[in-house]
Parts: sequence; structure tokens; C-alpha cells
Amino acid sequence: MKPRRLVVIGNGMAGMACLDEILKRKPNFEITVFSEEPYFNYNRILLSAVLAGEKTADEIYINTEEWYRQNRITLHLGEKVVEVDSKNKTILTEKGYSFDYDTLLLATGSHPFIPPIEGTSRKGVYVFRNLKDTGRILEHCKSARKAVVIGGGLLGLEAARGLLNRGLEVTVVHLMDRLMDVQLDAVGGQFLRREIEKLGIEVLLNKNTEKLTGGESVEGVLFKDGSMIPADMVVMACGIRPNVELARQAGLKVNRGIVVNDRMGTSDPSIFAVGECVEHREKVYGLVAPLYDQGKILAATMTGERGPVYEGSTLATKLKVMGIELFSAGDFKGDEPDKEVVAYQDHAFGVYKKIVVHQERVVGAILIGDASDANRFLEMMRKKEPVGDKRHHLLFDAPLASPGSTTDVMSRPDGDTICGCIGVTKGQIVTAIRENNLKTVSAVKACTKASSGCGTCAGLVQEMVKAVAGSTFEEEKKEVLCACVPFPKEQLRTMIKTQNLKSVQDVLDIYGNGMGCYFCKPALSFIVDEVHLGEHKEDRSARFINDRVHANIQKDGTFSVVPRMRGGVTNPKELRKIADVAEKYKVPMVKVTGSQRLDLLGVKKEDLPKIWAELGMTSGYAYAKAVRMVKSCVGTDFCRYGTQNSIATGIKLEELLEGLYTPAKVKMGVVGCPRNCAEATVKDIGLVGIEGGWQVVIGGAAGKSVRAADILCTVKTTEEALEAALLFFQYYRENGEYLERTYDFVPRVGLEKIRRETVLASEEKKTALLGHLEKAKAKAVNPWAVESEKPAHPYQFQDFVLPKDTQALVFQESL
Amino acid sequence: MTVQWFPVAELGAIPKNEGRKVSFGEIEIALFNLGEEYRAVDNRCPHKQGPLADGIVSGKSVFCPLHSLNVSLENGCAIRGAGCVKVYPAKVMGARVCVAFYEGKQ
Repeated sequence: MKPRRLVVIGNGMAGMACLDEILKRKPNFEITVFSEEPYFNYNRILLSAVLAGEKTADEIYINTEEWYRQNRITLHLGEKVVEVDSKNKTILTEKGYSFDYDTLLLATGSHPFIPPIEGTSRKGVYVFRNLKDTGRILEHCKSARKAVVIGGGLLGLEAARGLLNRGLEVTVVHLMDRLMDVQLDAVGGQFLRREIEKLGIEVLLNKNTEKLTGGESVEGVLFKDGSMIPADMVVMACGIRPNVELARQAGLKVNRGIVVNDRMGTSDPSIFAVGECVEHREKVYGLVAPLYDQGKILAATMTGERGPVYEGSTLATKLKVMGIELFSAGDFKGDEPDKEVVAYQDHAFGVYKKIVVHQERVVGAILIGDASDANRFLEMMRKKEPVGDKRHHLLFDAPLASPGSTTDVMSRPDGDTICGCIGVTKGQIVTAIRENNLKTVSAVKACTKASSGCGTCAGLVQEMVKAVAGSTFEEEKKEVLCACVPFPKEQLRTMIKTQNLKSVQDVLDIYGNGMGCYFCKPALSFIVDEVHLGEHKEDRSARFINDRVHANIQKDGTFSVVPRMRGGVTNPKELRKIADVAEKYKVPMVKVTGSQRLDLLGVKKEDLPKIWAELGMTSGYAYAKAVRMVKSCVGTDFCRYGTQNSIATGIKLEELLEGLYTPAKVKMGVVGCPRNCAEATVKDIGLVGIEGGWQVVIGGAAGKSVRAADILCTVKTTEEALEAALLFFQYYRENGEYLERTYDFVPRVGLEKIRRETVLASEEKKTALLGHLEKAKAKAVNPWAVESEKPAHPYQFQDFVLPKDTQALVFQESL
Repeated sequence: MTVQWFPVAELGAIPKNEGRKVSFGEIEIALFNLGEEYRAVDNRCPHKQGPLADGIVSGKSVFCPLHSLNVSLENGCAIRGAGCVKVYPAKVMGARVCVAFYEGKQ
């Protein structure tokens, strides 16, 4: 049977969530999607997290190119649809192409409302709706100082918090007498205002904006009451309006939104609509949960199952602002005489809870300061169950049978919704965990999509995995860096990058306890160095002693000196110098290391700069979490079996990477044939010469762990082999956790993913990785040459010795 | 009581949050610049005699460079586990950092 042509206009969360549901039913559709924005489907809710620096833009994509490809969806990015001809069942794009459809899905979303005031077209005035807006705002944040956010609703407050994180002075201006007036009563408004002001955001209420002043760029905001505040950035967050133009022009019935029936059909039987652009039973929804509800119904309708109908969604809102918990749902006012209000206020703690009960059922709620019960109330509202006995502990859940047990979420009925955004029930999650033997929250997320919306239910999901998986439960790998800086490692990197924190102390002061410890100080030293590609503010006191004095501390407090011998190759002149130095400074031992180098052991700290100067060699970095060396075999130069020039290639590889810090030490090997005499297949990076090419291998080890390296790729030329090694090296620098050797990194990330993001990545991505490496390398130095001339600190290598005859200053005092 | 203060280093000779070894006859101490004050303890970690002067400073404590034992610079005792080192009074006098070598308390 010929497939039906399904055309989707809109590539946002609603459209793609609906497609996801449709695909689950394996329909015989030929699917084409038109996206006005030039991006794959991303999570719009998380734009505020991007603005706040908690996530990068890359992290908020929902569907990758692979998803579209695997599901055989033809995606037209950056292609706006300008006309729908519903009579001939065809659409026309801005670029002049037309496409026929059998079924059309409108998921056109909405656009920001810009009030008709003067000055909104000045430079520095933004709306905050999509990735492009976010990028423009972030760019301007670098130079702006004072931002005004017009609109004190959900989006306005999230934007304000983001701008605050970016170091701007922020004022939120709101037309009404309370913030989030659509979701809060007067008391709630007061609580929220206090919380927002505590963050350091100025709040102005009852302010009607007259115009945005300035010349080409915005300079201030003038209000109808005659007052004015300065601003070099203005973000308009005054609400959204459904995108209905296409529908109207196609002749569909349109009120505020595109009018749909209970099966999400429009007035044209071949056209359906979903998401923020629709109006259902006179309601238009601007939140994510209803979009998913609608998507499920519509998927059933479109694939021919005349099953469920859409009866509207319970409106629930969570404010996603770091440091503030807020939840509001349903009829939270409770003004009418037949409604009862149960409330609790604790001003000192900033906790406000209000539940509205109507005819024995919970119909609305506001939670501020502690929203941990949000899902419980939402569930009571959805089920419309009589409150009954629960009335006794309505505001605070009944104590658990045994404190700390995980039976709480497990004792709920299977039909309870756990993830309100996506609409995943407890039963579905439990089944998924059992059937697929899931052990982590992220595995559940990948399998069921639970917690992939706003993410607030991740805690519940974790409890469920713990309960069902029992002893096989695994903590997420995203553990925090250290108790001193309690943020997940990946997030910390993003925060340091986006907030441009240049020194270890800056990170400790802003996100940590200000002190740090032996673990996080060196870890942060690496991260600030790597993130800023060597353009960080170096703080020697945060480095381990080895990195302060560029030598390896020994058990007796002396140091060892290992000069670089690239590829394990030396010469008589070098050997003579080493011998001379060893004699002159009475070095107790000279040892050949396992890395094809010579080690001078037992050197006094104060002798280090003198020895370096006399050796005139480069530091071998044998003391650091850094590039150590490249071992090589003799290869084609001398060996009768050699197929590749391993010595020259080894030296070249070492030259390309020496002097760079890495998450953990990096040892490399280059061998001229598969006999593997320099053990390249148990090195972090290895090049193995084969007839007519090279195998590039990664993640090998022969230390505490023994692991055979994985083959990253097989290439023909030495240049290609070196490039592959460099790509992996930089990828590991950017993504490895501190102290994580490649033999842990490769299995954690997965060989396929590493290939995809290095040797199989787009040219653009490869160029970026190599560009980062080049920039960092340009900043790398030979510390021995630099500091034998001029130490980082005049007394870096000096101990203090008091002569025996030093005179004391004598005082009469009490100690 | 009579206290003998010995000038051991000029102000600024020890970078902030770092330590240096100071020897005087048989005595070897670790002198730390904590920014607002100087602190001095015996330079031998109670665990395996590591040179505390080369450790990483954390607030008012130091982590030994050999095995990361955390030693308080206020009372000289390991923060977890047994063992203490001798503490010596240290203070800034004019442009010098001075240490009282003989009056230290255990």
C-alpha cells in the first residue's frame, strides 16, 4: 500500500512529541517536517537553563539527526511554510517549493507578544523565545551592565535569574500588583517577591511601560507614572500568542487559537493541530504538559484508532529558578464561597502552602519554598478523588512507615503520573525497569522519557529504580566534583566556561566553600586551564607540589627529574650532560624508567632550577597529570620487520602534544609493526603500523588496570593517523573527568560515541577540536626553561635556613 | 614570660596559601602564609613524616603531599585519625615573619 503523506509544520516540542507517539504505532506514513528555525528539535523549557549557564545549547536537543534519519523523517530546516492550500492539499514554502499532503499537522506554536509601545525596535531590546534569541542575549551580556525584564511572569523571572547569573544588574518590571499573577494569589505574590529580591533582583510592580528610551540603542525604560530607570538591555517577556496565520489563511476555524475538537481535529478533516497554537474547549495552553497530553490523543486519532478523547489538561506550573521552589496548579484562588482553603505560612522560612478544596476534592494548589509535594497534589487533582481521611495530613504527607525508606513512591497506585511533563505513569516506569533490567535514572530516562521535560521528577524516578533494581541500582556517573564544590563535574565545566571564571579561587568563592582541598584544587586547576585553553589565571597554591616545582616529590621529600627524550631517543651529548649533572649534584640514583627515559632521583628542591639550566633539556612532565611520553620501537629505520617509521612518527606525536595538561596522565606508544615491541596497544593512545597504514588505538593500560586498547580507526597515511590521535586527545581533554584515565573514559563514554565525535565527526567539529588543541598548545611552555631563568615566585624553590647565630628578638609577653 | 621571636622570612617571601620549610639547627618547621596570618608547625607529617610545607592549604589546615593527611594548622592535629605535630607561634613584626621556636606547645 502506498504510504500516506504526512506533512508536519513546526519542529518544536509539541509536534515532535506527537510524531514520537505516532511512530510508536508504526504507521505507514511518509513524513516530512518543516522547521522555520534552523535547529533540530530542542527543549524550549530549558532555554532559561542555557541563559543561566547551567546547560549549554548542545545539551538541550531532544532529537538528533540520527532520530530523524532512523525514523525516515525528511526534515527541512530553516524552511518557513507560507501558505496552506487546503482545497488542493498542498503547502508552499518561503523558498517557493510546494509539497502535497494527505494529512497535515499544524504544530506552529506561538510567538512572543510585544506590547505596542515606542522603542521596541531599538538595539538591545530582545524577546526570549528561541535559541537564536538566547544566543543574541548571551552575546550582549558580555558588554551589558543593567538589564530590565518587562514582564514578571514565569518566563520573565527565569530570564531575570539567567541575566543575574551573567553578572548583570537586573530589574523586573510588572504591570500587575504581583509577580506571576496568572499563577499566584496576593499572599503567594508577596512570598515570591521576597524570594526574588533575596536573589538580588529588583522588583517593580504596578508599572505600566510608556516607552523604551534611547537612540539607536536602548538606554532606559520610561513608565506612564513619569518615573524612569536606565537600562542597556531590555528583555520583553509579556506573554505569548498562538501562531494562527497559516490556519486562518487556510480557511480553518480560528478564535484565539486554531479551534480543535476532542480528537484534535480542526474544521478540515485532513488537517490536525497540536500544541500552543490550538484552542480546545475555549482554552489555549502555553505549558508543556498539555502538549504531550494532546500529542497522545492526536497520535491515536491520526493512526486510525478512535480511542481516547482529549478533555483538557489540569494546568500546573513550576518555576525553574535556581534557589526558588514554586508550584501552582488548577484553581488556586478559592475565592468562591463553596470552596475551602487549607493554608500554611512560614514567613521566616519563606514557605507558603495553599490547597483549595471543592466538594471534598483538591482543585488547586500553590506551593512556595517547598514544592516537594507538587506531584502528590497534582495527582489528587487529576484523579478527582475525594480527600477523605487524607484531610488530616493534607498539607504535609503522612509520615513514612520507616523514616528514609523508599516505599513512599512505590506505595502509590500504578496509574499515578510520575512525570507530569511527558505523562509517564508509575506503572510504566516500573515495567520498563523490570523488563529492560534498568539500573540508572538516565537509563529510565532514555527508555521511557520520564524526567526528560523539566526534570523535577528525577528524584522520584531514582527512588523507583532503587526500589525495583535493588542491589543492582547504580548511582549516576554525574557525581559531584567534591564536597567543597558540590556540583556535577560536567555542569561545573559549563559554569566555568559560560561564566568566564578564570581562577580556582573564583570558582571556590562563587560555587564552593571558599577553601577547597587537596582533591578539588588540582582538579579545578586543570578545568580552568582546559576550559580557557591556557588563558586562565594560574594559581600555584592550588596546584599539587609537583606542579609548583615541576618535579616529582619522593617519600623523603626530595624530587626526581625526568628530562624529555622524545620517542625514547637520545644521543651522546644529552647523556653526557645528564651524567655531568648527576655527578655534580650528587644525585643518589639514575634509573632507566619504564617510559624509555632517564630519571634522576633524590634531588633537593633548591637544586632543581640549577639542574634544569645545566641540562638545557625540556621537562618530561613525569610529575604531572599531563602528556608523559611516546614510546617507540625502532621501526623501518633499523628493524627488518618494520613497516612504518615509528621513531619519526613517535617523536612527531610527542612534539605535537608535549606540555599539555590532561585529566589524568597520558602515555603513548608508536610501533612500526603489529609485533608491538613498544606496547602501543596498552597505552592511552597508540599508533600501530601495519602494511600500508596505521591503526590508531585508544584506552589501553598496563598499570593498575590492564586493558587492551580499542581500535579508533585504521588509516592509510601518517598524517591521518596523527590527526586521529590529536582528535581523540583533545576530546578526552574536554570530556574526561579529573583523574579519569582513558581506560575508564573510553568504556564510560563508549567507543561508538567517541568515534562519532572525533574521527567520524563533521569537518566543522573536527576543525573546532583541533583549533582548541592548537590554541592550548600555543600557551604550553617548557617550565624548566622558563623557571630556571625566573621562577613563578622569587622564593618558589627556596627553603629558609637560619644561621645558628641568629639573634632572637626578646619580648616580655604572655602567649 | 619571656618569648624569643626569631625573624625567619621577609614579608611576601611565602606566597599566599603556600608553605615553606624553615630550618634552624635541628629544628625543621613548615611556615604557612594563610593570607591574614602566618602559622607554623613541625615539618614532619604525623603519618609518614611527609614535608607538610609542600602540602595544599585548605582554610586553616594543610594536606600532606605524600598521602593527603589533613593536619590542622591551629592545633597541629590530624583532622581525622591520630597524631599531632608541634605548633610554633608565628606572627608578623614589621616587615618580618617571626617564629618562637622554643615556646611551642604540643
